[in-house]
Amino acid sequence: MALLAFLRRRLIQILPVLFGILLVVFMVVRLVPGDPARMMLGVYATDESLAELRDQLGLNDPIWMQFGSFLKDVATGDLGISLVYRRPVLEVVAERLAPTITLIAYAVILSVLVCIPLAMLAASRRGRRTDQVIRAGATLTLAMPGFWLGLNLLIVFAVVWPIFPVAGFGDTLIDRLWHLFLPALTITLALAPILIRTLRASIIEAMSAPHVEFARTKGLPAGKLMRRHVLRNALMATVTILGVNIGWLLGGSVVIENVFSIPGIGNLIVSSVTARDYPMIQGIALIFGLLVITINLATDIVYALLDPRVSYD
Amino acid sequence: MTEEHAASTLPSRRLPSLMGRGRLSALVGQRTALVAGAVMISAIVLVSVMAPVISPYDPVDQDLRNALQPPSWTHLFGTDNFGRDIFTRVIYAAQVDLRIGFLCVFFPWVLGTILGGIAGYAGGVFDTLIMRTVDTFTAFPFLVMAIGVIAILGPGVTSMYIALTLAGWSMYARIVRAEVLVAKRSEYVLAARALGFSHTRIMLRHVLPNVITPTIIFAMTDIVLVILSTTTLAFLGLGLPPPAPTWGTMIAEGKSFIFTAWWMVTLPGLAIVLVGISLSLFGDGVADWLRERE
Repeated sequence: MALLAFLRRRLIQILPVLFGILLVVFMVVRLVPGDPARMMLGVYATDESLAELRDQLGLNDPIWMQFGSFLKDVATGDLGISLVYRRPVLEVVAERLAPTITLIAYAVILSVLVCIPLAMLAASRRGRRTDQVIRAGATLTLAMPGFWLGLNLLIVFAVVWPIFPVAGFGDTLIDRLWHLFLPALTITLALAPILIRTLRASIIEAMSAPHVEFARTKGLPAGKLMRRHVLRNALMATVTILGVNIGWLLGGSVVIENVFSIPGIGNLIVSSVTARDYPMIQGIALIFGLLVITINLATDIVYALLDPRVSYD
Repeated sequence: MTEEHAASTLPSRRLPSLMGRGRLSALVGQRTALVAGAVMISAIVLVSVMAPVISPYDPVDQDLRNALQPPSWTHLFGTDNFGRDIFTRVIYAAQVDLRIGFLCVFFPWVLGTILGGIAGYAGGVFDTLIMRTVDTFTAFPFLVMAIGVIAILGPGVTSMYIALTLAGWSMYARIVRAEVLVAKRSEYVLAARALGFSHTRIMLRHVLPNVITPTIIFAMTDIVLVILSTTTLAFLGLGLPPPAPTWGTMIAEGKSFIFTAWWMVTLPGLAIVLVGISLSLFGDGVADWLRERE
């Protein structure tokens, strides 16, 4: 029951943000300097086609009416027609969603598999050589731009040693995991410094907590101690960090998709900017905004479920 | 929600820089980090300014007979597909990239501080309006926000400044607002009010100096991520148009040549990594020093 009340309250908190997102996205086309229709269709557009596009975008109506019909359209899932693809924006975006979400999920799983053991190792060897090497490595990857890291991985593991493909998404599941390995690894390496640092700190904290001290004193084997008491805390911290960084992850995927030519929404937004496909940019920005608030909400719920100490108010 | 949970809802990209302890400065010592960082950045700036003296080549002129030469003593970093010396382009680009990076931290800092200050000090409708805007802006992934703004304004350096300012101000506003809310209730502000000082004077002369340090600490640790973001935008073709060299565009040009000329991608990126490490050292050093003074 408490969970339901918590959910309701969080949903109400989200409403103004949702409204803000819609307003910002709505403004995208309206803020284009000069005549938006002209900007989209180019200098050679005929007067008829310009008038048609203005009509299609509702640019002739008063601004509040435009916003009203925009809200109505969004509510019915109508995000407009792409100028490049000549198809509904939502349709094109939906086709591109799978690669992006697969990539992010893959990267998250890989990050957890890589970072939790490293953080535990660093924490249990605190202040010693292993710890210092892990932390120095994390700081080094923090200074590396993701696109550069990705291209270098391509050069080494796709060109010099052709183990992985250079581009694409693949067809079957195994094929996809193979295609997306380098991109997911790139995101993992970019995420690792953040994850390892926070996890290390939270594991160190957890290891000195009274209940862990007690478990150690009563003679619980080290492995069991880690699994039962320390790992749970580490997982909590991971969920929080991943949830909080989801916007960053999604943003990062834009570049990584570009580097590895993955047909996802990140690649789509970049090509739409170059092509001045404003309805498409609008649609993708909206999807990104909605994804971030949905995932933040999901994180809160998972967090509340994982940690009984978190009260719902 | 618990206290720690409330703190965890800070916006995305910002988290890495908020991690505080356990960074480079903790590994090598605060003073060493500060000095090493400052020396490295000065050296990079110096090399970049002295570029015409250091390098016999021109950063833009093409020499197609010498295209795609691997690194050698005549061309330290090799040449690109137009036969331009990559090392020369890298050191010329440092000026542009560093200036863009610094300004893309400076502008959001100014805007965020002003708006956060107003939200915290004035309260009421202003507070609600500004903080709801902050919430909205942080809902968009940083890079998507920046790309969206550049989509509206068209690619270019000015667009990049505006884009990164709009994408980055919200965190500063949050920090300043929180600090102002505390300062507002302090005795020195009450005293100033009792003396009949104007709100403007209290805000600028009494509140501002007391709330500014945390924002500088944040800016110092944020600068690396901002530099990485600006090079990313340049890589995506949304920054300075060619042929002017920037590290991001150079790597983007090299992308088509990864099969034949790895140096076009790998070597310009080393410059970014070097700047990233120097700024981490310097920023951490300054941030630690400011924290101690607090």
